Amino acid sequence: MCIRSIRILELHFLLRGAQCAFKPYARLPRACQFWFSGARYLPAKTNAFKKAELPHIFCFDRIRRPKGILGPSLSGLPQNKRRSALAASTLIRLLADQAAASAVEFALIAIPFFALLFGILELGLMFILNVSLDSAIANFATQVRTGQIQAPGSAATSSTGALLDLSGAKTAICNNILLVPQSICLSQLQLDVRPLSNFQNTNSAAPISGTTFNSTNLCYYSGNEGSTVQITGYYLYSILNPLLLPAFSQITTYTTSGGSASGNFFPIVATQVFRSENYSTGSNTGAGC
Amino acid sequence: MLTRANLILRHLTGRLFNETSAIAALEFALVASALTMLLLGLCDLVPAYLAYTHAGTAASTAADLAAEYSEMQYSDMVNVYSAAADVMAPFSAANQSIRITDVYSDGQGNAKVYWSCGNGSLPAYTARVAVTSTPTGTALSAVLKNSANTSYILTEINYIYTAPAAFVVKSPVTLSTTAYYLPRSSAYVGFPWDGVATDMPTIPTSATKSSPVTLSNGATCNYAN
Repeated sequence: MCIRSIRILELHFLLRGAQCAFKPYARLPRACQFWFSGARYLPAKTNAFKKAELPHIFCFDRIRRPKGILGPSLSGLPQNKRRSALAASTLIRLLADQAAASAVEFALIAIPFFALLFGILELGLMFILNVSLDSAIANFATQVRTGQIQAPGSAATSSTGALLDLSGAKTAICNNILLVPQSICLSQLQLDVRPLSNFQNTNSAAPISGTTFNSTNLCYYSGNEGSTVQITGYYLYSILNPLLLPAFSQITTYTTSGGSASGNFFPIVATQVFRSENYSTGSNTGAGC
Repeated sequence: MLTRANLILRHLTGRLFNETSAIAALEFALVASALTMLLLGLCDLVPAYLAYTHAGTAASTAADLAAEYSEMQYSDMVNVYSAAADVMAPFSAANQSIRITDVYSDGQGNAKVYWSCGNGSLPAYTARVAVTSTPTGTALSAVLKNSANTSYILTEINYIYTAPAAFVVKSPVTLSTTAYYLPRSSAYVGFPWDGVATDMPTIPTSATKSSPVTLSNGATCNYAN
């Protein structure tokens, strides 16, 4: 590759009087394609390079070890130097070998290529999750608003109205979220449903604090008809692609009542605030938060 | 004329074009620029779209909540503002300006402001001043059908969006959304109300002036009284 072009230019200046007495570059023999300088030994009976530190130039055939005038003769060397010369020559041959170059190049390029490609795909997935969580929460909020669903709170007591427990609500929401398996969605989805007496106090239950998401203070109680209800869905998307980490890794600790997990999460948040209609399906006897 | 230099040049050029090593690297260099642009562009545009939809939901929420009241106190208005900020999450409410207006018809083909609250880049309209067109350019008289004793809640939101990669969307962009809601409980949403049942806000047709007030969250309002 680049070795060749550099060596050909060097050749012009270095080869005069050397063992391989080449003519200028325009007439290089075809078989002699690769050049390497800096070997540690000198061929015998050569006047051109007398000092070991001077560059010596090998000339190779593609695969075979070069012989005769096209390469250094090893026969003039003492036995202990012959082996290192042979090893050097083998290494040079390997470096010069171009077979399967495309495969090697692709192996090097595949890593950044697929990182970019999957980064694009993953951003698309996050976008789809975001949009479908928005619509799933809006759908759920409409049912709460019209009294089709009442959230009974942590104490799952019976109510005269329509009821849906937390896991049922999560399943209903996950059914509207695209592309993610139900089991993953259920573990990553957190739901907060609370009636607001004063809208200003909503921040007290905010589960995101710095880089920690804590679901233990979340509420699941929709109050009675006519109450102002806030419904927030959180989907903690676990980021796979390292390219996206700097911009999107916002949560590194995910705490639930079952324990704490670390990872790189992006919180996808969808919120709906509304006042319940006067649906008259009966009062919510569940426990408030 | 083919000089020696010319021959050498031709030889070198020919070698460059016949060169087949590092072809994968070359192809990647061509593809990588396009892929990088796609990735950075997505980083900029995906949050922009989401911010826009959240701003739309926030405008609907604010208008919906305000339309449920027959009379609003200062604290109610502050609550409506904070609900709109909650809906905007995870986008920062600090970049959000909200203007909530009750627009009424005076029965003579004019749409006028009953009261209006605004903050940031959306300052409140002056009360009792005619509003000639909606943000989208529709004449308000067409919306109100020129009937007296009619009003509706108009909510406008400006969200200043700053792209994270700033590659495609280089400078902050203002995303504007609008929502219209008819009052649910009465013809007008009265504002401000002091909470005393016998002390209702002046209805717009008998109001004579415009008065300003500043809410606890920093929003300023003008109302007809």
